[in-house]
Amino acid sequence: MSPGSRVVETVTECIPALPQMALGLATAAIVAGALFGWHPLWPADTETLAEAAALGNRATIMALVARGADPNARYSVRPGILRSDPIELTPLEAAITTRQDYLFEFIRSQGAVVNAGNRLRLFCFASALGADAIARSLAEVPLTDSGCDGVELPLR
Amino acid sequence: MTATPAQPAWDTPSASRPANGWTWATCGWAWLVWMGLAYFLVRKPWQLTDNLGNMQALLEHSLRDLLKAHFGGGPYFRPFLWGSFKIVFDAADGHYLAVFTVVEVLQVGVLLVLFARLLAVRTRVDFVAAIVAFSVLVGGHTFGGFVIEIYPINAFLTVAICVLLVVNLAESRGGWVCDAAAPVVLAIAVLTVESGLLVWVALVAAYLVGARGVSPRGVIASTVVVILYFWIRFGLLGGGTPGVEERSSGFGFHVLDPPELVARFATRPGIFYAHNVAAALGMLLFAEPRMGVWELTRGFVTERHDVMPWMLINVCSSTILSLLILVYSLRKAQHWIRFTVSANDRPIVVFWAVAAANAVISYGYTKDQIMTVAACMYAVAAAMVLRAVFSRLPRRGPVLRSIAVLGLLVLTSGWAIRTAGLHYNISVAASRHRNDWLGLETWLRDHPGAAQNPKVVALARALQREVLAMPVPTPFLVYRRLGDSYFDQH
Repeated sequence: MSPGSRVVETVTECIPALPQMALGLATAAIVAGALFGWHPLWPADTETLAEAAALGNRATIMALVARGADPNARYSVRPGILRSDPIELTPLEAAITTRQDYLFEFIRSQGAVVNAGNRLRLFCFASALGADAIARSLAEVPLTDSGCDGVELPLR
Repeated sequence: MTATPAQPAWDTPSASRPANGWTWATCGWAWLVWMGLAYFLVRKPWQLTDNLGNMQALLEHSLRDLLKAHFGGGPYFRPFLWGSFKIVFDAADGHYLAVFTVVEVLQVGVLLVLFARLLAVRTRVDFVAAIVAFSVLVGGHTFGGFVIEIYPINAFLTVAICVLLVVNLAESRGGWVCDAAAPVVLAIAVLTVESGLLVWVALVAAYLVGARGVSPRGVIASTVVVILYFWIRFGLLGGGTPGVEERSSGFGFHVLDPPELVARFATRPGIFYAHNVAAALGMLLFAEPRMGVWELTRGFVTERHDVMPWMLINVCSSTILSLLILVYSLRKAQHWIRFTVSANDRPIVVFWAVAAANAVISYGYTKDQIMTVAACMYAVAAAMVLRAVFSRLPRRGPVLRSIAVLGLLVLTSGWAIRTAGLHYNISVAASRHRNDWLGLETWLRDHPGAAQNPKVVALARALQREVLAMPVPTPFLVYRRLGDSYFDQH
């Protein structure tokens, strides 16, 4: 067999397994990277409280609060989670974007406060996003008569 | 009809050679796959449901009581499973999550080693086919059933190990150790879960097609074990089998709950059982239906459901590979029915036997996990067929060769995506399991027996603390919307 045909034979036999070889290389990189603390497919502890709320990850919310994160502060939310550009939200605002009232209440149970200072804004945001159950729970305490006109919402 | 005479296990030109660099390269590949899986498995928390109930039983009862309780009548007969739970539980001495996870990782490692050995890689073509076969094994839609949920030891993984072990024994040089080990492995498997009977099917099928590593004595001893199993379970203990009303099961485009199943099939269970057997085979070979539900078809014909890319990837890659195995098998069938089977083809025949038996065992209800054992042999069969296909490629003309290579590349790309999807699936399960533990109070409220036992409550809270402290990312942050679209969600 000529060297040329031997090369053709080798290449022909190996091409079908190229995707698996690529996957093998990626796996080797992940395993080797883990030895040096590089975890591209398991990037734990990189979420902010607002991101965990926007993604509905209650366990992470609980862990972050337990580690001292302020549930009433504003946190950045990376592009691609809620919008294509980065934004800043409080965990309660982020929870409203999921329209899940249990999540909203869960964040309150973790120390997030709804008071005269943020109730109207949260109510208007929930109403605008169609998070009706959350809006109803916020409206249990009388809101101002002026309604949502002129209220600046966290995102549109 | 002439049976092939007794012959050494690996009698094809490549397999009869001693282990060489390609063999060790395959072992290295198996190690890499194992490490890749272990990376995710050690980071994955347990699920709350199922597991905690089992942990409660392990805490409250002695090994003897558990064996006694599960060595009785009823639809299930799994004393060894509970025995192994209890032995590991007691040995863990409080470090339950860590120790059961180590057991899971070790089990996966053993499975991969046995799988690699069965492939008997000796040449470059063997190796190339083998790495695709590893992808078929790990990327298969049933493999998640081995690793995503543990109870706290996965019974199907145990049985799959036992099946691969006896086929390895059958394909070995033999000896009294193999003869003695075969019935022991079979006994462990059948006392673990009902699917353990597949060990006997694999052993007998391997023997019939010429694998003589286990001699007639070993095969007869194993058959005696099966007879004893049936006699003890159904004759002595008066055990039953699961009825129509036992569990929810997929049928058509929906999952039917037990009352719906009873209403539809109580008077004609045969139709339901035949459907389940056919659905199990369809799921194994074509990735459709899933859990008895025709998901892809439903996506095409109904408005309410979407056809997701992962469904197409699954069904296309499984169907093409299965057709290759089917065509290869049909071309060899005339030899096989005369029991003239080469060593390369023996695992393929064993696969068909195990697949048929596994589907029959699945008659009671449809669940992907039940077919995990046959799926392992499917990957072995795939390796053998792909080996033959790859080795013939260079002999074709340039045009035909290019088309064939391109077609195979599409096929293997599909399987590579599915393999990568297992990581996503584990990540999703990890995040879900961790969040589920926040529902511990609800679980305790729903299980007053557990809530009234302070030891169980303390164990549950300790596990909850441990799980919640595990760093688990939200999969969306890694995979974005691609994960939902391209990776299997089961």
